[in-house]
Amino acid sequence: MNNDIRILCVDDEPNILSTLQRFFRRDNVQLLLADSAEEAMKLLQEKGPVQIILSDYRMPGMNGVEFLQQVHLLWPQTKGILLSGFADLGAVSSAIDDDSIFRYVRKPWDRNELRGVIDEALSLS
Amino acid sequence: MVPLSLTFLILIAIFLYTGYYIREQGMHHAINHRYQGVSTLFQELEKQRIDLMTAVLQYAGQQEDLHKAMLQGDRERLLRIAQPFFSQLKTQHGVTHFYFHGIDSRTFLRLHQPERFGDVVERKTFVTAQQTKNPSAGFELGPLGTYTLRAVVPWYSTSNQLLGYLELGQELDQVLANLKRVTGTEFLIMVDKAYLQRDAWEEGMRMLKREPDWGQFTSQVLINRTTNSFPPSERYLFPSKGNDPHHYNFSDNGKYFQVKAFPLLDAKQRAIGNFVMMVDITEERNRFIMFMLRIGLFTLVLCGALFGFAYRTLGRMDRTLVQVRQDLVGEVEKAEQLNSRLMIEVAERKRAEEDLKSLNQTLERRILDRTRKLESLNSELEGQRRELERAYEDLKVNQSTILHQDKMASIGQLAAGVAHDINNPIGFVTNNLGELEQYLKDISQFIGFQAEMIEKLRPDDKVLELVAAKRKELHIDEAVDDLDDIIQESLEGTRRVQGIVQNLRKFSRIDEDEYELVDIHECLDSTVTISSNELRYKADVIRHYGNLPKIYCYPGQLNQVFMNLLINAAHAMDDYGQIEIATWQQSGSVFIRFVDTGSGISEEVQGRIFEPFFTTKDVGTGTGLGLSIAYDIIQKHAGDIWVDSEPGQGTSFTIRLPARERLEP
Repeated sequence: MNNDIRILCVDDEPNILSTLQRFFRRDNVQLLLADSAEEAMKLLQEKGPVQIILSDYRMPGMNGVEFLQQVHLLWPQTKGILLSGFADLGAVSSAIDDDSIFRYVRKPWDRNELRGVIDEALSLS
Repeated sequence: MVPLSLTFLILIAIFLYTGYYIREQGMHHAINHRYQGVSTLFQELEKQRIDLMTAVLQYAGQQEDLHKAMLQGDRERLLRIAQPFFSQLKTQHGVTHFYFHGIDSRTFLRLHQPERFGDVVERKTFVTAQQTKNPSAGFELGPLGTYTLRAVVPWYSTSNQLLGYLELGQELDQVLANLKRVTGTEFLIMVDKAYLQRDAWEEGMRMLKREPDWGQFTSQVLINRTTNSFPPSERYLFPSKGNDPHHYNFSDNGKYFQVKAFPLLDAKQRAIGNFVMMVDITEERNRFIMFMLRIGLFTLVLCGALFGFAYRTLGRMDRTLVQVRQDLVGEVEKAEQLNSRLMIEVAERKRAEEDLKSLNQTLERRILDRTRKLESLNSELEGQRRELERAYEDLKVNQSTILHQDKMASIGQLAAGVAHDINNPIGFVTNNLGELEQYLKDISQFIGFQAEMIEKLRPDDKVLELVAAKRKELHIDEAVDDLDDIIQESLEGTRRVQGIVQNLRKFSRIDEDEYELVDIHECLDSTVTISSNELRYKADVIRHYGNLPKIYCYPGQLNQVFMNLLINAAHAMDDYGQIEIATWQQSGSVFIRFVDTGSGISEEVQGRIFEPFFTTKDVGTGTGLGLSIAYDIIQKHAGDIWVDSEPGQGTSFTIRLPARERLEP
């Protein structure tokens, strides 16, 4: 991974964000963090598109699926990965069907699984 | 009275008509009879005349001076000799014609018309006498319309030489006058116009000093008559056709005549006209009328007398009869009234009886109907009551089921929420632990590297001792050794939390409650995990899982059933026992059996355990719904659940589910 890779992490839980920060610590990637979908949109508009977005599902305000769907409309190349402990698969599966969500990863995630998903997303982008 | 009068009148009429009819018949017979008489008389008169004339002619024929005169052809002399004779004949016997005919058939001399002679004679009587050389006679219709009786004799001389013919003739008048005188009958002689020539006839009539009237009748003319009276209609003058005996009556100038016509025959026996007889019946008629009047009067008087008598006698009788009849009628009427009253009464009675009968029947029927209705109403009510009871029971069950399911759903939602809330921290904790592990490796590696480096530097023992002392003091080696365990144990802890959350979610899938393809073993496992708190101190759970396909079912509901059975089994343990869960597959069904070593269930209780609200637990401890809900759920899956138990020997519950591997519509 090189410095051109930009990954956006969105979660209302700061501990998750710092964990993800640690997860990518050894990778040479540009990591953006946001604690809500609105904040994330702002970041994307300010700093430009990213290759990968990791988003929580359940957040105050806009939820993860809605957020990723909006992103998909604006930046279709961006791969959205939904990270969620909530098992509302109905909403998620429809989003997966329309390509706005690349993958769904259940919380708590397996590090190797997550790494595999990200590698896959990067190889496609 | 009217019928009586009518009868009398009719009788009189019949009497009078009969009288008239008899008279008519009589008159008819009389006129026919008269005709017979007249005919006979006429013929006799004719014969007499003919005889006379023949005798006269034969006498005259013997006169020699006449022979001479004829032979000499001396007409003057003949006239002179015969004239006185003719005159005598004329006055005494009514002879009107005297001829001398020659052998050449020409008239030599007419004594009655001496200036006319030399004409050929063609009359029948003459021709007959000429041919037979014998006397011949008969009536002849002359060309002038005169109907003349003629007699012709051949005239011989004394030397028997035929000199010619002598002829005498006389008009009908004389005969008729004789006939009239003898018979008292008037005559009309009619001749068909076909036998006459008008001019000649008119001249002849005038010669006889009669007034000719050719147009008086259509087809005939009147050539002779004895009276001036005429019938009013021409048809009276013709003979009735066939044998019709009819005759006619008419009145003329106060005189009444009976008229009948007969055919008039000439010497050739031809019907040349009509011979009409007219009888003056004035006297007779008057007599008859008088007679009828008398008779009528007499009859009337007689009838009147009879009438009066009848009126009196019959009237009295009639009155009596009328009275009697009225009485009778009254009686009959009374009887009829009585009868009809009786009939009415009988009819009313009958009707009343029938009414009563039908009323009875109706009543019976109505009572039957009512009874039946009541019965059906009763049974309906009973049915309704039972239905209500059942509905009430169902409602109770449903309510409890709903409450229960609601509870379970709430638990499910709670579990889902909790899962999310727990999963988040577990997520970062796990990952942090992973990081920590990495860090630890790095740090351990670094510490080893440091120690190596320190060795290589060969510091004095004092530094090494200090480091070692510090390491020992801080238990660095132990910590490093232990850190890995700590991390592994922590990770194990997070994994277990994760498992609990997962099982909780799986168990509480009631919220999803979707008919889906499910691994029964997974369901059983999650249920056991959830229930482990209850089970842990009561029993060991032993699983004997067979080879089961995934089947379509409502997993949340099945989990509920499993949990109920497990909890019940745990509660059945007096002390500590064993719960065995066995699964197998057999002929299209999936079987799940829970066998416990608990206290068992009495047979009496076994029959009721699936009833709602049946419980053996203390009040407030159990709802009594667990097994009934389980029963309902299994029923809903088209499966069975049954119990085998003996008190003191433990209990086994077996569930059979159809192994539906496909989603059926």
